[in-house]
Amino acid sequence: MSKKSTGIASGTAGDFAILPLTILPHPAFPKSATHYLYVRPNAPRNPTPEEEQLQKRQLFLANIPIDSGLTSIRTLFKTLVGEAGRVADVSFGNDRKMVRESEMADDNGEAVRGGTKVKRSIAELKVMLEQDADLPQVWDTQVHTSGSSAVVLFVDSKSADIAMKAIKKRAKKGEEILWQGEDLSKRYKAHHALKFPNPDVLTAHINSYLTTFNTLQTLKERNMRKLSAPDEDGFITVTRQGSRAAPVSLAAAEAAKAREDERKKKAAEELTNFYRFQGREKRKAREMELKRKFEEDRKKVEGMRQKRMKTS
Amino acid sequence: MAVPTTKRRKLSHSPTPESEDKSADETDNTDLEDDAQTSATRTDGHKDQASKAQKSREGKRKLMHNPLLDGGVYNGEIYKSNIFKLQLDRLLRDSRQKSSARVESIDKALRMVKQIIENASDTPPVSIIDAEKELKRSHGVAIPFPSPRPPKDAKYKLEFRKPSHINVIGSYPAQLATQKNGQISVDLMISMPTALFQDKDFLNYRYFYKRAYYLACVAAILKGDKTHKLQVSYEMLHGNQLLPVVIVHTNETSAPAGFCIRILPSIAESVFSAEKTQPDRNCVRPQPGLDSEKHKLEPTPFYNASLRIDSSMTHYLKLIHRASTICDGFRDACSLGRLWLQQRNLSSDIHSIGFGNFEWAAIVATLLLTEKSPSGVSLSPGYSSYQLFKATLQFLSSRDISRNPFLTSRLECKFPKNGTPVFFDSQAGINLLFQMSPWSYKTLRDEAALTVKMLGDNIHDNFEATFKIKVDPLLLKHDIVMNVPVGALSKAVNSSSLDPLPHLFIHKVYSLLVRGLGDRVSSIAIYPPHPSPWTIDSARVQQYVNTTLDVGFSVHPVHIARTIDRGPSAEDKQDAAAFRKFWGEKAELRRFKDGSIVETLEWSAKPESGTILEQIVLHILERHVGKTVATEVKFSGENFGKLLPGSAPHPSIAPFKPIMTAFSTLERDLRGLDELPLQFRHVLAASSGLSYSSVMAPLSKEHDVAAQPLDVIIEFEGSGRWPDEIPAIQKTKIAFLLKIGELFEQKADGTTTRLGLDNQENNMLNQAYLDIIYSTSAAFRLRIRLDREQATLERVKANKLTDAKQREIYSQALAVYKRHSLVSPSHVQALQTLSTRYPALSPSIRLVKRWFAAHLLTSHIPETVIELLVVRAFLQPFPWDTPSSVSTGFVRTLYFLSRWDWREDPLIVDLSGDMTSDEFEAIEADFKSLRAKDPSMNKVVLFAASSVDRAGTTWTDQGSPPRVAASRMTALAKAATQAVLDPLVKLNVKSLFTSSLKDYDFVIHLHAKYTRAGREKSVTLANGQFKNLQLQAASLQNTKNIGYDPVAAYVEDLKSLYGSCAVFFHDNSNGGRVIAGLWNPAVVGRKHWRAMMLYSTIPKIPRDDENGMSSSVNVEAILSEMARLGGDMVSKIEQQKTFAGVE
Repeated sequence: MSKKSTGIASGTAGDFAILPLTILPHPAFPKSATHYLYVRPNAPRNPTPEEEQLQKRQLFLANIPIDSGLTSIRTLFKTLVGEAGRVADVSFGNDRKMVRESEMADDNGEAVRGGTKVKRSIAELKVMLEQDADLPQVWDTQVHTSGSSAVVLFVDSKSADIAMKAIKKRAKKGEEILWQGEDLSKRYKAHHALKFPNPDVLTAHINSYLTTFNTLQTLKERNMRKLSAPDEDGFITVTRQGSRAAPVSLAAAEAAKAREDERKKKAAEELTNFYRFQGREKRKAREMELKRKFEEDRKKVEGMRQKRMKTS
Repeated sequence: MAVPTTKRRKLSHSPTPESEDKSADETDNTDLEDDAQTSATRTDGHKDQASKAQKSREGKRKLMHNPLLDGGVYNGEIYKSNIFKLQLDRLLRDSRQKSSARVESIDKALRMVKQIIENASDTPPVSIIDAEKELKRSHGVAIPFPSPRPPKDAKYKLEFRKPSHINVIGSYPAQLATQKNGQISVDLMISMPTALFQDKDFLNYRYFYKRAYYLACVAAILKGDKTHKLQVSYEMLHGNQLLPVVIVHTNETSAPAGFCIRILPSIAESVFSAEKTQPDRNCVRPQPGLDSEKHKLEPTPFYNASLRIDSSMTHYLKLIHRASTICDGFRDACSLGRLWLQQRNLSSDIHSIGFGNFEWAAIVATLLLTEKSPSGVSLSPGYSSYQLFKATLQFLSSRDISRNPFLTSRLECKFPKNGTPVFFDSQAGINLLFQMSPWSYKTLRDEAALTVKMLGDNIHDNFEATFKIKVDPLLLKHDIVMNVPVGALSKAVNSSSLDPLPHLFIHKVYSLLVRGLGDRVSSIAIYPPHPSPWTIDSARVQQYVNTTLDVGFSVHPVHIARTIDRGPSAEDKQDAAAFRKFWGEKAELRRFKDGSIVETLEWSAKPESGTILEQIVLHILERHVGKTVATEVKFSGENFGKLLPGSAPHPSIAPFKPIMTAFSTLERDLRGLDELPLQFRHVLAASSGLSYSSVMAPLSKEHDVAAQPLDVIIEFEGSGRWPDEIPAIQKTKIAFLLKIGELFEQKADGTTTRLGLDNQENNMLNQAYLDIIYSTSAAFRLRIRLDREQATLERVKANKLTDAKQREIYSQALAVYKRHSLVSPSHVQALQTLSTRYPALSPSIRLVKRWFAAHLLTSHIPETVIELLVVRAFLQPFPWDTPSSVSTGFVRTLYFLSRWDWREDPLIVDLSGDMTSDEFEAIEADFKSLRAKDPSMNKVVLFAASSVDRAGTTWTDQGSPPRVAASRMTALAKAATQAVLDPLVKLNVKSLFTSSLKDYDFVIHLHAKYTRAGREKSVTLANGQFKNLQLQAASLQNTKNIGYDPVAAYVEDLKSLYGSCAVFFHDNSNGGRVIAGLWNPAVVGRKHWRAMMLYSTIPKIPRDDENGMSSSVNVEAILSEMARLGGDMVSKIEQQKTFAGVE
């Protein structure tokens, strides 16, 4: 089966090189298949200076197999270019790691700019809280949505270049390369075990989180109180005092609301039908309402009929 | 007809101040001006002058199309509601005769038939034998003598003379004719000259013999007419063998859709004395010589009434005409009655129920025209058609006229007490309902009562249920249907005259069944086979051997399962003897715990011996009718219950008893944990396993040991010390759960607890649960519900400072919170209540769920929605009564499903029964605005609201189920309903639960040992010699495995990884062995190439007509990925279709 006759493109598509991957037959699906990986040097749209630096060491992979991982990508490049293409790290399209890092950077920046001691420690605590927030992982392996992408970071820009060149060469020939995905065979069994973490570990984790949270809370309150003291000009900065004033339970809140509604209703009732014209207007409105409803109903029946005609 | 008054019209067009004052008496106005117009056109419609009838019809049509008449606002008293009234008008308009071409050809045919008969010559009187011979010889026509045949030596002569009148009567001239099987039948009355009869002819069938001869002559005349080539056949009028009639079909091929003319012979009212043919008189004298002195003369009401009916045709013609002139709503009330009867397949035929269009019209007219009946019921001419309709139904349902006869005027007459209802019209001297029998009267009353109930419903208009839904398919209507072959019956009764099936015999079977089944059934309906018209060369209808007598049972959901019947006490000698005589060797004397010694019957509850009803019916038939009948009887509808796990003949909520006990233990144990800082406010069940509605009952024999623990929601008493931020709340909840687990393990012996993580990646949602596993292997999954969480979510969401992205996150979290913590427990609680109120509900839900699972729909259609669908069949059962068995619960749910247009109609179920129509309207308005916002239904396809969940999208948001799954559900329900309702196909119930896989694009087969269904087997197989040892080892393993469902996790993975290119179908409730998939049509075919697509692609060389590269979905690579992901679980992936886009 030649490539020409099947109409499958090879070489490049846009600025991507098409790298065909051979997938070996699986006992359950005894057919060898070909997966197409699209590769190009990484070029983020609005790069930060940091990113720009890293960019030279990176390749962008699109349409990756779902069972891609650090090991499998490393193996792939090893087969491609041998030791020359050493992969330092891979980050996947939906990876949370990168997001987290950027958030932390933000907080730090604020801390520096703010300068005061209290504020810094609040920020620090926030970071600590963030770090504690994550519960233990429940999956041993990550899988990626079909058609998603990854950024591969090489140890240096040279490795990235070599890898890219090798890929282009392969792509031109349309030569396939073997894909060895991550081992997913224990995925579900491991998941069942990981879902139930050791209670002691978990207790420790929760305790540390809650301690940090409480410290943070007290700190914030103290800070708030401090702010509400008059400054040198005699002004007091007014701030909202958290939401401790909220009612204890939903039921109590609902009851309070019902009482309030009741009161309003009573007040309104006293003034209805005070003048004759009010009664007249009300009746008129009711008639209009009846008429409107009638028109609506008529339309509805007409609609039903039309539908029936269509179906029959 | 919609005929508003002048005042009303003014009101609707220009609401002036003066009209306001008058609006109050709006209801009292009658249609005066319309009356003036129509009464002119309504004259003489009954006469056979076709031109006049035509004219009046045109006049009527003109009126109907008057646009001015459609503008009124109607009061709920006169017509239930606007929408009801509008639908009613539309229906009445549609039901009238339309084709004027047909009217013309009917009129032509009528004139022609009339002429032929009028031109015939009289024949001289002949003896019976000669008459028969002569007619047979010259015309090939037999005389349809009723049975018994006239004696050969009869002294009287038979004679034919020209009829004194020929009139068109019945529904056709009144413009009420409705089609039946595409045919209109037109009644032509020929009056036999009075001179043919003698005073005593009412005795001993003499009148009927003469009538039969007369009819045969008419048939011969019509057949003998060479110019028109008419097809002539005999039929029994309403199945009454005393009253044969002639049916004439014209041979016109050019005529539009068929009609036939029925020729009904009649006599003048004065011929026979009304007094002598009263229902309490005997008119068939015993044959002399058979020691007649000893016999008291038994009254012959049926015979007498059959005779009277012939002489009262003109009377009713006039009566009905009079009624229609004094009351405007009368004709429409008749039309409504017709439609109502038609949808219920009720007709005047004694093989139906002996109550049809004629009886309806005659009763309404009589009630209208009887000013003061001694029985005190009458209708007012001021009623609207709807009011007449409803009042008539009320009359039929509320009054038992079989015990308490209805008389139009005082009459000295002892009506025979045989269960036949009596509506005695003294003017005509006839009991209008003489053709009815005890069982058919019960059927009629039940139907009428049900419809009255429907019309009294203030929330739903039930228009469809009243007039548009076919009620009669037996399996929809009855819980169990029994077919008795007539052939076997005729052998059993050893009667050669089984044509038509003797009424007495059916009566016997009916009373046997009523007595034998007692309170086990709420109604027994009998459907005898209908005799068909027969050719005029034979006197009698052919025997119908290959037909069946159908009996429909509606069971009582509680009593049906009783295994022990107590009879009379042994001391009561007479009753005990009767009991023994009835039941034979089945009756045994038993002593009970309370010391009483009574006659007893015991029935087997084993699955293999069939349902108890079956056992009883077979026993009775065998004992009292005959063995052959008992062996040839077939039942349908009884085997639905056997499809449930456990296959009990009478499924109930009993299998759930152990788990409910376990749940109360859990609640007690939890409340006993004193060391917790907060007390429990609620411990709420939130799982179908605790609402009697999971397919498998937890803790039952069939139940999978590794199934998911049952969800329970716990709520603590209020405390101000919870944090105010969601992530911190979630963490605090975990701390609480850990504490509960710790305390629980210390306290309750042999109980394992474990803390599991939920939504690990989203700290806005609940993040943990606590599994509590008892040594009985009852497993519960506790989650904490907290007011504070909801309040915080709502507060942040409502805060104007929250940005859009945050708001989205919070509102999603709020939706999840509401779904799991609020709606789910209330839904479960409502179901618990309903399941105990309706014993058939729980098994019906379970069976319907099995059906959904069998068709791989459970992965899409949420359990809750399925439950609501079934509950709907119970709470809005119309046009039937509340289902009382699994079969009706199941079949009617499917029937509703096949008719449910989820694009246009929301599903709203009032679980608690306290919703008002305003609330219904509010939900409907929500639904409408939702559809208006998203007409292509990308977000919400099914809308299912209930009284505990007004939102309606709680379970069906976020594009799940997708449209394709919903459409498939409807298509499958349609196919299943068709299979169930098709009378020609013998239903194999199991076939409803087998699904074909060939429609899917690919199928993933799983190894049995990973699926739940497969695991069960392996557990039972593993049972070795040392059962106890093995069980101990197994129980530790089992505890770990509880909730281990790799297949479910795999399917979840597939959905999230390939959600944009494929839809997966899997039976997730029973652990089916296949996952079937369909490619999303949007990704099939060639697409413009981009590096980042939402699915794996193959790059394609552009074709000439494409600009730039194109791509297509990489099917094989994806399937191969699926295989890798599934690992050992997957045994085989089949690619069933290679679609064109892949090439």
